Amino acid sequence: MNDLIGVWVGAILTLLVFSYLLGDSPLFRLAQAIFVGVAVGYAATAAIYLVLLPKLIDPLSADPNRDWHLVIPLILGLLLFAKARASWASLGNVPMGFLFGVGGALAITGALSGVLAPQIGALVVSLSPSAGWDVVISNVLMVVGALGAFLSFRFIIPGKNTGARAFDQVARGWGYVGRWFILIAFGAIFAGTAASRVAVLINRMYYLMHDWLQVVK
Amino acid sequence: MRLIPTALAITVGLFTLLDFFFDHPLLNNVGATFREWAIILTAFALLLGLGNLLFVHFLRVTRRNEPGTGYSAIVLVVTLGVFAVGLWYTLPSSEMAWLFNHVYLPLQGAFFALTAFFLATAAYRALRARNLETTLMVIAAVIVLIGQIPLAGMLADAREWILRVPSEAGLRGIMLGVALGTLATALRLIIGMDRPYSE
Repeated sequence: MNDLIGVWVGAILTLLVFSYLLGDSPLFRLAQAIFVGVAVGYAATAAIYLVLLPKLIDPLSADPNRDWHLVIPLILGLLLFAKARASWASLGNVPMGFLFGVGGALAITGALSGVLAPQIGALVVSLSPSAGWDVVISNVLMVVGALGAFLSFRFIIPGKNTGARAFDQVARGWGYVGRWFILIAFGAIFAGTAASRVAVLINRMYYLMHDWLQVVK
Repeated sequence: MRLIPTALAITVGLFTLLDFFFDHPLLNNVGATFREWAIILTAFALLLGLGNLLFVHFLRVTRRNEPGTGYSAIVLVVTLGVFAVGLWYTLPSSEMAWLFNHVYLPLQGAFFALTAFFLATAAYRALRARNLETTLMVIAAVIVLIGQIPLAGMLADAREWILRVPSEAGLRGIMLGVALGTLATALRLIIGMDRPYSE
């Protein structure tokens, strides 16, 4: 019975969203409002039950002598709510400073170990003909394309000496070629996104036809 | 009042960084504690943000003369309803799972599915553009799209090559640029050159 009600609720909400295909309507706006409401309510519950209770409140209430240090994030967290009032907002800067400090450091470590090191490592490829000429050509294209794409984001005014100008000309030309690789990547991403969205659309139609109307086996 | 947040950001940032570069029990302990506190503070920040969103909708409902008052009322009622169910039945629970599976997921899926139609319109506009760069993008998109059909034959190989070589090269260049940008921005934060938390 619960499942039957659930299927009906899900199907009606799906139809409310699809009503946008006929134009912007109150039904679509209603679906938007419900979506925001459910997401906000769920996120607030998750913040309390998956983070605040197990990581802060439960340890503090169970053994305050052992976990006394958790008083600090509790105070910082409460200070954060001072942001809600303009005259007290500067008090909320203290926890924000903490968050930005830890966040900045984690961003650096993430960029170094998660992106720069593995991506640069992946650019060290074999150019030995023993691997086959097709592999060599692909590897050359990979290195030329990746460095070119990187150079296409170079926005530097060249120096006045001849060497700097020559380097700038080479970098500009290479960056121009790199843009072709970026656009091919955008094309591939576009195709992947389109395919995934069509897959979701098919899933929703199947839900309506199979789970709700039961006209498809 | 600017000094305390700046000093705090620099101190915790440097200790978290040192924990990454050096394997010392004290640094490991301090780094892990700071990360744990950051998770707790993020939950508080999330609650503050959600509370602010509800407050904005509450103001719209109480003023009444603003457009979309009814939708704001729906947002408020649904949020408080889901939150009340969550507080009563806790999370994870079968009641919250029901709300997630039969309300949130269908809505999310339908919104994502709706974008398939907008992507089709965007593809039509892109196909009309006539220069080398757009043409490259369209050819790559068409090969990648058609290449995933089981009967695509040679196009399947071409798709695999595009994804493995030129597309990956372009993405790799973008990721290198983004990572360097992230490094520069985060370093400016940690040494106190940028202080967005003091504004």
